[in-house]
Amino acid sequence: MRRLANLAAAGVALLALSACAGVGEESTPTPEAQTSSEGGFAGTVRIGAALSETGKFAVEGRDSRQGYDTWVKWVNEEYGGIQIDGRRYAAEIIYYDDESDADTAANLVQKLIDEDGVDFLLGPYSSGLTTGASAISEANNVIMVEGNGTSDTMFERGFRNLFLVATIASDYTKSGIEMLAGQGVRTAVIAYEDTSFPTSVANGAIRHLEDNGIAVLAVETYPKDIQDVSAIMTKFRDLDPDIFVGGGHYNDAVLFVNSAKELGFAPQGMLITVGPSNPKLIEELGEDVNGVLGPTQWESVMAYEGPYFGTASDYAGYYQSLWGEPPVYQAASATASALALHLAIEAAGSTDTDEVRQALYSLEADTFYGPLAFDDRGVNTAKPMGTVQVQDGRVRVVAPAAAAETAFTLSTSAASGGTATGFGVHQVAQALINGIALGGMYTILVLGFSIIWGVMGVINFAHGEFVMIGAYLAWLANDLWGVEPFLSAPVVFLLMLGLGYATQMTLVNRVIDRSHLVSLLVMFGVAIVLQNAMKLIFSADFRRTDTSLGGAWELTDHVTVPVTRFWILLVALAVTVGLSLFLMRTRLGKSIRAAAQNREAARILGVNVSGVYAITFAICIGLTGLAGALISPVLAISPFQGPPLTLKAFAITAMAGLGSVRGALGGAMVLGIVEAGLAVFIPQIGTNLAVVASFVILVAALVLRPQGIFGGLRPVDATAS
Amino acid sequence: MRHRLGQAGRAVLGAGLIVLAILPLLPAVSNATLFTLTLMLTSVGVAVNWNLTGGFTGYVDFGHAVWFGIGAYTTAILMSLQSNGPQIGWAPIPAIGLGALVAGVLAAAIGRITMRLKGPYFSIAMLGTFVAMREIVRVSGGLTGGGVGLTLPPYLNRPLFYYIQLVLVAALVTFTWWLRRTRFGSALVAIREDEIGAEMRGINTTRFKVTVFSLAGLSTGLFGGLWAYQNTFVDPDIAFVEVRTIDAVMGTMLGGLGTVAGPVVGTVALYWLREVLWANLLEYHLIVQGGLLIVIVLFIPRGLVGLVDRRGTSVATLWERWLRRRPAPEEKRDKP
Repeated sequence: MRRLANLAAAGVALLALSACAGVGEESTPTPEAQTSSEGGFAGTVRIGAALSETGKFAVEGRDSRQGYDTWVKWVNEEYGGIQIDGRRYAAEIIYYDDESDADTAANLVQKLIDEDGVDFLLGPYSSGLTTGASAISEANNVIMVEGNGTSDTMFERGFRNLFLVATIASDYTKSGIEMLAGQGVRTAVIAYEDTSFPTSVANGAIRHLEDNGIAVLAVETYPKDIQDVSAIMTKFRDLDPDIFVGGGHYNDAVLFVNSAKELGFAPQGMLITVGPSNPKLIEELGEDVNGVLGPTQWESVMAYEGPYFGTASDYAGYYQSLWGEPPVYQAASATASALALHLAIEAAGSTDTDEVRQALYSLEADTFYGPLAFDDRGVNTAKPMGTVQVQDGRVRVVAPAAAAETAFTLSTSAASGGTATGFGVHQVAQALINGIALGGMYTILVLGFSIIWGVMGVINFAHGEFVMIGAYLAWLANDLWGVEPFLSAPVVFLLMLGLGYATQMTLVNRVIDRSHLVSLLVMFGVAIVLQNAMKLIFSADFRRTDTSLGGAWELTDHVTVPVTRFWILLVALAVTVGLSLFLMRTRLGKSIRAAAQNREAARILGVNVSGVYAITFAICIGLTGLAGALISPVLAISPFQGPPLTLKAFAITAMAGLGSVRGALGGAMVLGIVEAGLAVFIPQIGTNLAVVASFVILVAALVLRPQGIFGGLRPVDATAS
Repeated sequence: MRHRLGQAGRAVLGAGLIVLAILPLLPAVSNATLFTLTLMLTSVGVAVNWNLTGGFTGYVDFGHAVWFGIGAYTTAILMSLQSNGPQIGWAPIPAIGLGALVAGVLAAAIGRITMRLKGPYFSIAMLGTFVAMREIVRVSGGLTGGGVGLTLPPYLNRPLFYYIQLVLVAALVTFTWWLRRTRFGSALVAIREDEIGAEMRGINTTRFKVTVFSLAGLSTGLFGGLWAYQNTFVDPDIAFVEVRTIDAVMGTMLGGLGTVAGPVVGTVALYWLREVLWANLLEYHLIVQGGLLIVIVLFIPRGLVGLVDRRGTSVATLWERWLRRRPAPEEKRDKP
């Protein structure tokens, strides 16, 4: 009976969940149902597209969808339907949300073909999703036209059904580099994120630089979601190149501009792959971004024109009237993809795949988006890539000459103090300075994590998320009222103290006595909730706070001290000393240490252990939030910045000894110096290796010296159960 | 705690298997549905493997997806081999087989080091192995195609992939069920309950735990190779994704840690739940999922399988537990 009752209860719970979920149904966007019977159309051309409504590409996915819908609206209402053999057909696009996930996108394309029986496909957003989706459409012999997945690899597979209206990734920098070469630029450095699209762009850039007689002095790669590029920029500064070419995604642009300023690296030109064409970057960085160059697929001021939609600015006006905002190039690329398909269907006079494919290959048209003509890979090679420059806080098109608004300007680089090459004393000094500065940041980042683990035995897997919340609080204060992060840090400390206390009372108290797995998984759940809640509130864009304590002190020509990091180091040392005194000298501190060493004995001797735990957790979360506020001008702030910080905190703590304040300082310094050394002395992949360093150190430290290097409140013994 | 597959559970699994086996023959079932089910079977397989070390042996692996990535990459490298133009790529079956083998051998080598660590140290060391391996693949451009990755010849026979994975998962569950009844299986549970005690009773704990760890790695590598072939391309960020480990952990926790049916029931439930959440909650589904993990761990530590079990937890006791903060019964505590 009991068993039946349990089953019934579980069933009721599931039903309730489904019902709750059902409430949101009305807000779900339903597939655009264009009227096929009204308006006298002879039938409907069914087109399918998987687009990201949720996940990391939600914004670009929405832009792409608006671009496709602009065409649908125009073709059905303005143009009068697709003309096939003298008859007019309505256009209909069926959309599904791919959740920014490659497997899902591929699956949805399969579904569109099998279940919805679409005649044609339009592309998803991003190269990663298009690569998988295009393999499905190829295998099913359905044509896919796209404008937002430009990696070269997709077009080297010999596919016959994939067409790209946008400029391919390897040509992103072509017009910019040609223009720079014309201005007498002779040397360049390159840095790029080591993922598919940025690599295609960078390989193309290297080729274009060489073709134009510009020497490439150094190439550096870095991992996805990097938060700090200072090691790369330090190396580049020593090489003193004429121009910098780099980037991967929007967020990297923020990092490069900030870091160049922080380190005093000032090349004549910075050509950044993604970001400069986006006005958000100017909002984010202010006048620091002036002079920065970047490629763009399309801008509404470009002098393109065609019989459909009229000029580029006519298109922008039509788009604005539909959506209440100007079109970004992702939207224009989407509209152009649909338009190319439309023109090919009309030219073929049929929706037969083979005939439309043939029509696409022989298509030659001028449009608002630029000229369209596909080569035998299916790539539109007629449209050149544009180049923009940020001038006086505005994005201006400067190349190609045919579409340019204005001339571009090179900043006159102050001193070319001679190129320092090879291994030298200055490099060792700089690596050491960078390492110690990094160590200072790690110290303040790790203290809260270490003490919670040492005293309470709880591994705070949401540690990085509390850092992130502290950083966002400092950013809010900075953004709303212009408060210096070093000044808002104490307030952040107090706020986070409260949050820590609340978390302790509701959740952590319940896991203290339970197995490590329980606390690890519960805090992991907290981390997922916090990340996604913050993403809903603040979006996934990188932020940073402004500080007047920025820039760099020049010790010599090639050795500088980053000012912000220097102050963070000072605060970290002060906190370390203060915390040590607190734990050693005060009554509360002694209670905390007693509870850490032997809970039962402490309780017998009259220590209120649960009170001590609550205070410890609150103080540690306060410190963690303080750390977040302090590093907010240096590390990019984003909802997903936490996990790598948690992992570093774990590595340092395990290396240093649980709850040891001195150990945290020592471990942080070791890791900081090792990482900075790797990044400076290993060419090209040094920054990637620095990511791995903490884990190698971690495993080595645990296996070789399980009790920790510096000793702690409680010995780590990783091999004892 | 009962670790055997109960009679009811066996009946449910058997009936489920028959339904799944005839599914592709029905005209109403499209390739897209089969694709979804195949992805689900892959997740089930990985969760069953994760449960071998995480559930039976008590070694909670936070980097299990590394073997999936190794299997996928080995397969992709072998199948896309080129020498000056003409393709000399391997056929899929030997490539996937070797992929699994490489994953198993690497798991044996790495397991010998990391399995010396206990509790959270092992968990994090494995997470580190996972992250490090992804970076190693990324910087070994000559072999792996670096950040750009590798593409494979598209071959998209959905029913075939579906049946292969269905048979694999069925075999894997049968194997787990059998394993649990052997001396080997008992030794694993003994390691989880009291490793030093097990050693004192003459169990060669290192050999047992490293063996099961590399078997799990080999099997997950096999699923990785199959996935690479179906997906037609690999790059470091899609072959090595944290979500694969997270899904395995969540599915197993939801179904019942250390039970034979748990990972299967839990992963299927997770997929069903996600369909509901994704369709209706869009932006919020990850928040709900994180909250769900907290609820499962705190209040239903024995999972769905435990709920149905005779000595299972009723909703009333769950509520009582929340009020009194009583830990779940029969849960192993850490020694102070």
